[in-house]
Amino acid sequence: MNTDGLQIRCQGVSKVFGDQPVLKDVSFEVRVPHVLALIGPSGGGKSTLLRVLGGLISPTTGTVAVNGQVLSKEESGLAPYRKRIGTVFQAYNLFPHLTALENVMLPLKEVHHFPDAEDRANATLSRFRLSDHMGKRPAELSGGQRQRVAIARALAIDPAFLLMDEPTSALDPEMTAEVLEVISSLRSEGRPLVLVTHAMGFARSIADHVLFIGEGRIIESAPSTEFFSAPKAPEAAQFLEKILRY
Amino acid sequence: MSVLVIALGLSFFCWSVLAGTQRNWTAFWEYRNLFLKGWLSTLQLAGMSLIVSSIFGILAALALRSVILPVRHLALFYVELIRGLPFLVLILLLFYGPAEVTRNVERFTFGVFILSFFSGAYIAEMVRAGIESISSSQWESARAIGLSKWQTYRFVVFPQAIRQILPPLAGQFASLIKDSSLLSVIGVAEFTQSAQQAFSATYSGLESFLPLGVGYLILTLPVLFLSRYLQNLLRYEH
Repeated sequence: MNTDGLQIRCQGVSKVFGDQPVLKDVSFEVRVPHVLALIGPSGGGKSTLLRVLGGLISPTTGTVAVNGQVLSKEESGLAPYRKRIGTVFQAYNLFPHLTALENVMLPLKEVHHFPDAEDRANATLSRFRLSDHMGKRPAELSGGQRQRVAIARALAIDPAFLLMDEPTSALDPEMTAEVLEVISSLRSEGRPLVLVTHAMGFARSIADHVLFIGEGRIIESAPSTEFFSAPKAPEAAQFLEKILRY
Repeated sequence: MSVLVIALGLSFFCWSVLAGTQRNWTAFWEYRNLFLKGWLSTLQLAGMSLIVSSIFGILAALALRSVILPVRHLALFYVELIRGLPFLVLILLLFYGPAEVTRNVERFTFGVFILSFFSGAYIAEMVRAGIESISSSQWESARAIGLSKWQTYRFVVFPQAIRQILPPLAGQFASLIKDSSLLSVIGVAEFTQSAQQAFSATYSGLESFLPLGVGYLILTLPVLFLSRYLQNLLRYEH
């Protein structure tokens, strides 16, 4: 496992969907021991940046390097890169026709060819207190259980790092708490994590570093403690004030 | 009460039609082996065509989704051309066109091909609709966990799409059985042709064509019930 943390360097990264620019000339370099949080208003480009970092989409221009490795622009180069990353989306991660156990086993068996795929899947699900739900399909699980299975699936392959795109935004508060608890436990085991979130209190408690993203640009890049106590950019200050008011 | 009246009326109608003085049911009995042979031939024709047309359909559906533009256009041309032509016209065109050029084409094989070619276009649309019913988040999840495109189809898309595809596919199989009767016009030895042969030998129309209808219903009704059953299964199993 990677215990050196995570280093990300973006140079002039832009992404255009159709004629809609979503990322505009994004350049930054960060190194975090554990958790990098991407925060900012909706539609600002956080999820797109996360998908670029995860090798799910290629930027229109610019280069991205993760832990010193420059990401390929070709699908053939991105595919092997993606295999080493665990990604968790907002919702509808799981395959509805497979049980929790089968969902976790699918990448272990078919992508990574672990001979002990079932044992690994079992162990990971047990760790997240899902032993009683392994034979259930997603439709029979609560939203919180589904996200925990999704995290188990991402983690079971022993990824170099994890990417999470608003993993709790589709959940009610109680389930949010149970998923955040699981994410916190990942920090303690030292696996690097890039997290897009609207849960500011959680971001504050878990992140080492924050990228504040709005209108397709990095507006502020700062260590978490600095960012949350005294944001420098006026947009960030406004955003935090608005979001933390209630 | 109304049920009783309808039942009585129907029985009287059937009795008068079936047992009329000119009816000659021995003619049918005499040709029973011809009927059976034709019926089995239709069953075989339809069964083989179902397999071949499914292959055509899946390939055309994948081609419809291809990133290579000429492949996509070719598939679209195939599907829309077939869906725009009456089956009888297609049979005549292919039989008096390409098949006539080669001359020594075996009728039954040609029948399987042409039926599959026709049915495949409809199946392509069903498969395409089934594939497109799978949400983009499923494709993204599959990519994220590292599945290749082929693995994504195999483990994620097809197992879910098949639930959408099966009910209309069963219905299509019933159509395929019925449509195979048109192959009699180019002399494929199948059920309808058997009945026509019996008819021209005995001049007893109803006695030849009523068993023909019953024979088709024996094949199509179970398939239609299966289609309905699959539809209900799909509706409640979520």
